[in-house]
Amino acid sequence: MGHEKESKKTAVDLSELAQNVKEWVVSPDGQKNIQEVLENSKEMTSKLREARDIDPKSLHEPFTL
Amino acid sequence: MSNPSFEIFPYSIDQLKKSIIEKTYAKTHHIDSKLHSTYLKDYFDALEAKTILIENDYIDRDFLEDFAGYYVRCFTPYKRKCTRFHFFCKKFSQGDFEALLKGTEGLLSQEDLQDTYLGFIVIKPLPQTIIGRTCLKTYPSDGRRYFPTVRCYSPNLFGIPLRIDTLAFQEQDQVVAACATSALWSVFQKTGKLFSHPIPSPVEITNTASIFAPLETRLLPNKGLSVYQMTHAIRSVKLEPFLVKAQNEHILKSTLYAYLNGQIPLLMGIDLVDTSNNNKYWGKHAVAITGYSLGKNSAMQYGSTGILLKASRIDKIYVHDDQVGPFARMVFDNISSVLNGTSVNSISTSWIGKNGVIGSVRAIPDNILAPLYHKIRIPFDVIHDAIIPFDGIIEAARNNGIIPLSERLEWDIFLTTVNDLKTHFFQSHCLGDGEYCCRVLLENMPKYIWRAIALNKNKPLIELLFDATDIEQGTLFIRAVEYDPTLAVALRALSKEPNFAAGLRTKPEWKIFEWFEKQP
Repeated sequence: MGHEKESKKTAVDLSELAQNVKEWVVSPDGQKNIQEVLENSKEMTSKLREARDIDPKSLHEPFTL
Repeated sequence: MSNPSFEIFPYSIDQLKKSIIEKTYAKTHHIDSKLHSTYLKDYFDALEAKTILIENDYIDRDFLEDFAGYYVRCFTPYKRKCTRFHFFCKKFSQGDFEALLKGTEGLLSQEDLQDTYLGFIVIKPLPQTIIGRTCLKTYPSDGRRYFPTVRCYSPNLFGIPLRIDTLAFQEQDQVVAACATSALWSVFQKTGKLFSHPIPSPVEITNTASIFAPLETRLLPNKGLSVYQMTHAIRSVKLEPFLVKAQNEHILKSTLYAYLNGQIPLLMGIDLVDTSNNNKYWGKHAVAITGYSLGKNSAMQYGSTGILLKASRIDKIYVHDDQVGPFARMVFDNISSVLNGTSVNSISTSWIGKNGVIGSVRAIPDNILAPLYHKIRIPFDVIHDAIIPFDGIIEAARNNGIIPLSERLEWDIFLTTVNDLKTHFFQSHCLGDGEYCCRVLLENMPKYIWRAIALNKNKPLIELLFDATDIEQGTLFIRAVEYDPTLAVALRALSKEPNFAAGLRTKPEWKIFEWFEKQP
């Protein structure tokens, strides 16, 4: 990492952070949160894909102005 | 001494119009009725133009090609030589300029000319569509305007080298070029330099685009190209067209931001409606997007995950609209318009509707067309869609107080080259001066790279680098650049947890987490 000098976090703080993250991931709440994110993301990307689709008919309409 | 090679006048819009009429077949009412006249008046006022230097008998390569392709065979003996108007924000006289050419002491120096140079307009010797190659200085940045698609032009004024950073513009002549041809011509001005391809003239673009023209219409005079024909023109210069529907404002802003920052100008197809005449549909129009303004103070959440993109701060785009002028503003002002009986998002234009008011005609974005180098294979949407769940998981952890971030991350996603990326890392010292910076600089990377930078209060915390030349099924993810230990440690811990990894291994976003899993 490129932040050794700038970092004000102590090794203890970071180790505690890592531990908290691990506990959250395996907790029922954490798993529920992550599942929700993945479902929402899937729904959102699917809607975006639809919104980006080009109607092939429009490819042949001339720009006349 | 009166020198017919050039003339010099104090700038005023009336003088400009008078000189144009003298040099062309145009009539006063034609010039007065052109939107360009109003636009150029405001533009030159903003640039504080003081002097016009007219270079007579100028040979313009693009017009010469058009002349050879069409006008030379007309019964009316149109001239083949143009006139070039140069603009300066300094007052000087014919005598001052002559003294400079003679090398005698005077009020004007070569440095003065360069420092006060605002660019030039080539005036074509035609009856109405007289604005040829136009290279004018951009609006000042003011900390919010960005024109990443400009390039350097080097006009030479009787031996005096000048330079101007801009992107060339010209209006359609309605004979060899319609709006799409003019927009393509402007875009090729940049891609030609960026990707080393020959830059075709308007008539050459129309000819190549029209190989598959419908049989029931004439090729020349040309009434307009379709998207299909535009993509063919792009392929003819060995680039690949990337087309995306852009009626959704989030898609429009994020896509144009991503490619413009890769220095690639884009084509935008729009539908125009006259709001002053019962939303009368005018037709389809094409413009070249050349810049944007980040005028909004904060990013706007989008979709069910609420992702924040820096691109959502865009409040205006700048386009080369051949019917208006170069760097014409189009504003995202949240006003809807009616198209085919449906209310849809629209953006402002400088077009004049039936009521005679500038801006009464609204634009409804339809699609964006990007001319890309063939090795830029991974489109923006693949990167955007991979960031959505990655950002969502970080946000869920932040919301639960697990990752100590005061605000949600804001993502800055854009295309770059390996050289630009490494130069940025080397010159900005953002990675520190030590071992880590050296390791990143020495890492072998592909030519084109997608950067996704996670910002917190405008400060980068982490950056994800993707190989833009890969295939979607490939590894795609190159590496992360970790600016901040907190987020880096949290992501490493998250990715190493077997339960988390097991649920994600088959999903595209795992490619990012996998990199963190492998870190010590």
